[in-house]
Amino acid sequence: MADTFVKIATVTVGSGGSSTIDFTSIPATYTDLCVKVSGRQTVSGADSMGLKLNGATTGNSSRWLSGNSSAVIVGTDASSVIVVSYAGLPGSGATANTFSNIEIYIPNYAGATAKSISSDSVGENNTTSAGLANISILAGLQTSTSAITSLTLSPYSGGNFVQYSTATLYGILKA
Amino acid sequence: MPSTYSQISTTTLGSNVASYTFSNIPQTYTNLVLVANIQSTATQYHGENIKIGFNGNTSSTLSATRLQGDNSSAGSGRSSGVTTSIISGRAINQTSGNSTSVFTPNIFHIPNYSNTTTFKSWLARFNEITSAGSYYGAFAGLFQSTAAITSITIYDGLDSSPALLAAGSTFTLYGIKGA
Repeated sequence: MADTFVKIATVTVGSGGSSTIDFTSIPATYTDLCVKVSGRQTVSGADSMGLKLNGATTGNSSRWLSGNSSAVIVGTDASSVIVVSYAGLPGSGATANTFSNIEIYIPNYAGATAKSISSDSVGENNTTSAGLANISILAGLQTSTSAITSLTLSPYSGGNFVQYSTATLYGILKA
Repeated sequence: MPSTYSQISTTTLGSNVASYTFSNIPQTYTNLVLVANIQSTATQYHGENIKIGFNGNTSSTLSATRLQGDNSSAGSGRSSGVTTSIISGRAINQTSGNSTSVFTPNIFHIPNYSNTTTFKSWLARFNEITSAGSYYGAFAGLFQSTAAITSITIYDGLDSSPALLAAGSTFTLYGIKGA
């Protein structure tokens, strides 16, 4: 029986930080993709995280359901990125050394249909302040029917990923 | 290091069908993950219910609680004492009145599926987003049976107007080993 959950690449942000985490030249030999992210960013408050597929800045839309210990909200976005974490990236005001836990799942990424995305995000950091810790479920859509060959992750509000932020891309292998 | 995440079965529908069943599920894993990337033939809504059933069960032993959003509001609800299957999510894109190229990911996690001493719980997330509307969230479900799960069926069908799982929908079942 075939192994199916295969690491394609891992990116660890170095000293000085980075505005993006990029995966390029993604092979088309898998069925689905999964990205697991442990991230933190430089803006003071908790921030969202955006995803671009093949660098596309149009055709993106996102919906989310999120709780932050005091309220449950829903939200939408149709900007230059797909929102894959709502306020899930701890910022400079968060408890030191705390990083998010985010999973992004992209089925049929090499097919000729629009790309539907499922993600969930947790940004817990042992604080009593509401709004600095969020848990979210998100749905995303990129209307392009092109196969995905690159992924770009970035903090939504323009900050940088801090050192030791990591993202690992997995391929779910065809039988 | 032993491999721990293996594909058990996968299919892409060649035509519209009312349901799809994984049968003869091997009992050699610890957990199951089912990824269903689905489209419906329904025309009434932007989405359509789907249901999940286990072992061909027909007794009132299924229940589920959901947390969901739909663009404008958050909500929660549940079904219990269901006789044949659990409503799993209004989470499938229709094929008319909407983009025909959009499919909805539904991902189920079923831990400890092969044990014969406890009831079976499961967790699912569904993520529909279309030009006509969206419906997304998570389900926690329970199958009150101590039998090992040997088959899983995914059904399409709004109760008042059954529809079909559309051609092109994909269903993949993975087994995860604990060691």
